[in-house]
Amino acid sequence: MIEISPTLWPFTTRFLEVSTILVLAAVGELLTQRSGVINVGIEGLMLFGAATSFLTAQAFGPLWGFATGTLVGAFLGLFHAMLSVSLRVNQIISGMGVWLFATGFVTYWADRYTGPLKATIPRISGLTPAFFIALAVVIIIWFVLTRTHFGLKIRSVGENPAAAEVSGVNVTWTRYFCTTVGGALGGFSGAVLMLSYLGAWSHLPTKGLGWLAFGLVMFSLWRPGILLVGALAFGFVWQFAISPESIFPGFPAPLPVNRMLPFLLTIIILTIISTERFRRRWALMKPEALGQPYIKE
Amino acid sequence: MFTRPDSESILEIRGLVKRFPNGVTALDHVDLVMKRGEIHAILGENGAGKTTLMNILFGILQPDEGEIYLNGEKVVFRSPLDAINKGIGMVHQHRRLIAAHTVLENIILGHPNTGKFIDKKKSRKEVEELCRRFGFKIDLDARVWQLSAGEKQLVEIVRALYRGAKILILDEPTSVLTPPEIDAFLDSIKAVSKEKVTLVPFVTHKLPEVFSISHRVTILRRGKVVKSLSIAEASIPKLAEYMVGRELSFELERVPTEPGAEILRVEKLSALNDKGLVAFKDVDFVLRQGEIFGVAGVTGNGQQELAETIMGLRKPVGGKIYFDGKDITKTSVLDRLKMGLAYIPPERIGVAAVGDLSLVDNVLLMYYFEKEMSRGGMINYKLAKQYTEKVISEFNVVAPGPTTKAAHLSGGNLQKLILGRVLLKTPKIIIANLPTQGLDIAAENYVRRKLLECKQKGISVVLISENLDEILQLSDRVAPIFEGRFVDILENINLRKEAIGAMIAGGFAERGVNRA
Repeated sequence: MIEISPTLWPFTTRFLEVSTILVLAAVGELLTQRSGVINVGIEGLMLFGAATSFLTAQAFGPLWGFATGTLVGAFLGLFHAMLSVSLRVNQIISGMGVWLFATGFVTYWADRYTGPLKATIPRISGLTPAFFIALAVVIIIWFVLTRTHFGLKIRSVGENPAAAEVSGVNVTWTRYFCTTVGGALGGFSGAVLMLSYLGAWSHLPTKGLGWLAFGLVMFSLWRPGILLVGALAFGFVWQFAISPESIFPGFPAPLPVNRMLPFLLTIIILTIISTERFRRRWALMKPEALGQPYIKE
Repeated sequence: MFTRPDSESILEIRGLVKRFPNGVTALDHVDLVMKRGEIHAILGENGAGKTTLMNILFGILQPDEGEIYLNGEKVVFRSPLDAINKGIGMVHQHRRLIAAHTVLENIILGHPNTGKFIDKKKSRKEVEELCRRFGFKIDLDARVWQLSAGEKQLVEIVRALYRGAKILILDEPTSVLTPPEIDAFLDSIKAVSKEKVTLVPFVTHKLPEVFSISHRVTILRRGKVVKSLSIAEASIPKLAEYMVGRELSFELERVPTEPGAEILRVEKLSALNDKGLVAFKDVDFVLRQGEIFGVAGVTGNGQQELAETIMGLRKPVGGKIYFDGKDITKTSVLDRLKMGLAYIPPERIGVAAVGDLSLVDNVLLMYYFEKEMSRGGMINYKLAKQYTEKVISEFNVVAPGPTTKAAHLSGGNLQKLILGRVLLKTPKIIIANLPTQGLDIAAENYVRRKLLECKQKGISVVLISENLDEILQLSDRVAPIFEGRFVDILENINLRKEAIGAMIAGGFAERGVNRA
């Protein structure tokens, strides 16, 4: 006989919140990658977003926190676009650079203010309002990508920039746009993590969520719908790993082992989709020009 | 047969000059007049200035001097978009299509009058209407990667027409097409020109096809217009002469050879293609020393897989390969290379050579396993460089030096290098897969002559080609291949091109005799 725990609803709202954070960061990265730019620095974007929003919220209130967190993300996205689109730096290295820089800078900048937030944000029967924003963002991005001419242009630039160019599409502008919007969503996701989910600054608060979001984009085969489902599943696992007792009272494994679960799952899933059968499909869905700078003839 | 072009000119080029920063004058006062509804072919070898002219007409490059007049009005194209908006369309040699998207998506991409949202119904109706008018048949929902080269080309043509092109520039339109596709292409070209659209094919080779459809031909050489003449005044040898600037010896002499000893025997060989389907089945043949064995067929009938299987690049599912009486079916590629098998793949950059590596490194790829090339595990670069220089000088490769990157060589020069690095160490068998594809006339002629010279040295050649003239010119025996089977194996004595053509198109498939 399974007993439904009284903590089930609070648990659900918590895991949906993790999913929200994942979805926001991942759908931004999905947009970026669909335009052919790969930004591996999501973890860094989120760290910057979290730190900026935390400090701004302490000074001016949470609403400003969200605004500055998003803005700093957009700025970092723009920076990555400059490096990868205009200067044609290796995109993996540039993204890694953003992440490494973030871990150092954010520690130096925000760790001295370690502690809880002064004000919290309102909730809708326990659920964070960001959840609905994330849903809307996924739907909008799905709609733009599949139903509009602008989306067709984005997809074309990610698949074959030379072909897009001869059709009169501005490759550089499209990539800048997508990378900047993707960065903004990453920053916003960090702000949600800080102001809504954690409510307090502690050393490097993202704990790998950004990397999980990155894996999620691959897992989703670059489709917003699958991404949403994946984010819900990963959000559940993440939260379950933190407080398994809210579903299974007396869950045996110790906390550090549990915390490995989401990443273990990521590795297992990525291994499965790398098998011959999935790889065919995966290769078909992958934006052909992903990670390749476009050089005009 | 043709509709007559109007007398009024649609595009006029006056005194076009383009100099590149490196001091090369690519175009030197070029004048051209094109009429409405005309098919105006532009001929020229590699480096004659064709690409530059094309890029200027499509707004990719800007001229240093000279004017372009469209319908009597002076125009300046700063980008492809300017050119597209003025009614100029371009069909690229290396297709500029997005493989993962549907045909319809490719056609409507970037179209200015579509609004924000994609109205698939409306655009589909418009494109279908357009196709009906010209008599084109394309599946608009197919993904581009599923299409053949000819279908992709048609999509590019439709895309340009859908954007209202009045002048269509075609870059090497027939170079990647198979013979049946060429016929279909020529038909579509005629249909388009009937609708008063001017067509400008740029061609380096495959002259006969151009000849059969054009109204007018202009020949470029070293950036200058050599001659512009109507097709009635032209003949193929004359055009070739204008292009190259000297009389070409088109005639290659094939010395009939006494069949030598058997060097390669293929027995009941079968293999699958990349999709896991049967590529060729139960192929039997014997290759003798010093003969050229021609495998004639339309690309995609299993000859690529056959070549790969003989070289050991593909696992056979059945059958045996004997080299000099020894079973080599399971021998590694490296051992086959050491034994004296050599392969000339159709993909010059990517399979035959690595574009980002220097010529020395590319030559080394066929030699690194030779003892003298290494000293205690270290590459003997001094020797490798000398060797590369020898290849370059003996095979007339035009290259700045042995350290140049392979990607910077023209197709013809790269093929000479690939051929040279193989021939210099005198292999026993060369498998030449589409060795002259995409080469200009001079280079093509050179490669063919070298293959004929192999015979004197006792080298056997398996020549895979879809060019029947080439097959008949070079081969001692001809095996037409259709759907993975040799239709027949014929001595090349009084063979008629039409007969072979029918065999590779499946006309004689019912005979299906496999004689070794």
